[in-house]
Amino acid sequence: MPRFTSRLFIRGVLFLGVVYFLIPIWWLLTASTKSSSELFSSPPLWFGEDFALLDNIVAVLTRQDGLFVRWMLNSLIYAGGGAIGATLLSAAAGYVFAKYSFPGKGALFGAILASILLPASLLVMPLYLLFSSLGMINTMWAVIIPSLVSPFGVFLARITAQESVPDDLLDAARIDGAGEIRIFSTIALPIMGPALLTVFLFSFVGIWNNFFLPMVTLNDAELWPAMLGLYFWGSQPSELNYHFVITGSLLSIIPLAIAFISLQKYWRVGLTAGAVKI
Amino acid sequence: MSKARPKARGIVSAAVSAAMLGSMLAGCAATAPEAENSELVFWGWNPAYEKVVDLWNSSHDQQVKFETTASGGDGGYTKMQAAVKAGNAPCLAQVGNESVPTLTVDGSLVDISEEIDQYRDGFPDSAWAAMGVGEGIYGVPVDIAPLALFYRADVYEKFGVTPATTWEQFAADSATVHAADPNVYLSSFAPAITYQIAGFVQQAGGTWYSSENDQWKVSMNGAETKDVAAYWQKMMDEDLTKVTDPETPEWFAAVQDGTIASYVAPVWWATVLEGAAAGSSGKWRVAPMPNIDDDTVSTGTAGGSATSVLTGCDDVQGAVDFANWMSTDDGALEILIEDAASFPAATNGTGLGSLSEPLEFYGGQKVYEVFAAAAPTINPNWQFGPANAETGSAYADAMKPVLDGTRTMVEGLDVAQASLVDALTTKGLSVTE
Repeated sequence: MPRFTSRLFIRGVLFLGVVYFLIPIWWLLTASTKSSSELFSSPPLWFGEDFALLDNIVAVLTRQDGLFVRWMLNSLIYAGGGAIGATLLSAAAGYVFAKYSFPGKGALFGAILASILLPASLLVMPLYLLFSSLGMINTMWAVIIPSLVSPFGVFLARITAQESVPDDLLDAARIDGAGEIRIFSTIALPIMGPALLTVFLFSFVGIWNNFFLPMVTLNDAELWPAMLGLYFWGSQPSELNYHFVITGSLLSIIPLAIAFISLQKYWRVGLTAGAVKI
Repeated sequence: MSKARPKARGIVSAAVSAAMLGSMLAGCAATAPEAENSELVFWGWNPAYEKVVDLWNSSHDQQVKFETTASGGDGGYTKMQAAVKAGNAPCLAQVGNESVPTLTVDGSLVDISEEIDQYRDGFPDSAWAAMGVGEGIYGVPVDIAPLALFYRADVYEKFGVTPATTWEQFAADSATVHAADPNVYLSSFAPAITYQIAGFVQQAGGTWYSSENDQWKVSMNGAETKDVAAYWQKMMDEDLTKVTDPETPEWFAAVQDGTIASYVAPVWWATVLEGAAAGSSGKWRVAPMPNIDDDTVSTGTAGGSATSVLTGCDDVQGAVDFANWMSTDDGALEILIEDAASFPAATNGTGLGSLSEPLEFYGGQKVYEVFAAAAPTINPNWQFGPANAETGSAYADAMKPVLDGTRTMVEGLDVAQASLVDALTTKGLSVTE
């Protein structure tokens, strides 16, 4: 039964993949229940003797007058706001690249594709100098504005618009007298929805984990995102902060988990199947 | 899978957008130019500095504003360098001793040798030695980090040894203990970790760098360093020390169950150990680190930090006045000792009240008195170099083969020296050997 064995093999490989991805999460869960001294003396992938999870959570939430709560809120603002903006900009740009022709289109798109290859941290110093001359250092804008630009998002949106938004549909709308902006926002945008969700999630996770840019541009601890705050706690010398950092990390992945789990039901393909012949 | 309720989502998104709007407005307000009170801005990562600054502000007209950065090597220095480039750097910055030359070479720090002149007598020579590059002084010492021997009194007693006063004796004791119980080592050693050996080399009177008239002399394979390397090579060859990276979870487990019975570490490590090895409370003591011989008492360091003035500051004297106050004022020092386990560099700081308290974790020993006695014996000959990252990686890369026995540490030093000189030359620094 070759078919049976191949299925078994595939399931085995997938199962290994699941284990591989879940072990760090499991470790984070168990480590969050230990006090800082127990971290070193108990088995790494199992619970310690005392169950200190609640103490740890309280310690994280109350440390430095509840700064962690502020950091989480900042992260939500940066990642939420930045990802919504990045998604809308990418959608508009991708749609334009897919559906319009204008001089220099190829070169422009090439430039956008090329910028995917630039490591983000390479741009941090020039961005710093730029924002410094604009007087925007140590403001939320210094983090939000650069995160609005997502070359990968533009690429994905262009492919989506090409594949899933039929030209006939747009022509029909034009004959009915709709303007270009309206066609984009009421017809193209909903059709591109599922792919845009992917762009949104990618941007959200990217900004959530963004670290170097906020570190360089934000001087005020009140403005830091959670990642930077946790990193700061972890890097403080002469103090053992492991349990703060670990429990804080556990708390900080909750919003990401919620974002993924709640948005996955919108991931549908073939949304436009039959759209033209309604 | 959970179905997200539309209502809840609406509330969440409304909350997020409200929060966004609020902070955007706040952000706009923050971009307004600051009022014309020339307050000095101070960047650092020591959590106790905030309190120190509050204390200063409550009693001085010149106000200081403390802003927290990630710690230096973890991005704080990058941030300072960027701010200096952009011309909006703060006046004051916390800088680790090891990074003073690095930041000096790239033009981030101001030479404060004139402004500091009136305060010179408040600190020992070894503290100033760490602040100097060429003829200039680039920081006000805050804390020093003399090394001492942290040891497990119970294990020592069990095997009938006392803290060695010489390295020779230390090796002999290691042999005694390890012969009595093959599971127990008196110490651990990591050949590819820089800071451990750097402190030993400093104690021995060696240095990896010296600077004269804009020239850096590099001597990672100098005589003193080779002596130290040969000693530890012998310890590893004879299985008298456990070859392992320190301060990993396994290592902390080993010091707690007494299979690694001592560790040479700096003063600020006293609180680290207390936090990480709570299970062995009361069993630890501190003794002076072993010496080359009984006649020359000398101590190495690991750490120590300064307050430096960043390029572009328009009130250098004011900044230096604050920095000196922070390093010498009794109230400020008490905060630094209590909250950050800093050991004051200032000569008037070593006798402060809280440094003579008995500590429960160390069986009631007044451990800071051991460090206070060691402080004047810190060897001032050691100097940090102009490129920390390169120094660390040259040493570590050259020493990795030591772990599998394909190279001795002494051979490794020559390799490290050659690659370090290359790296510095590539950076455009003028070096001699």
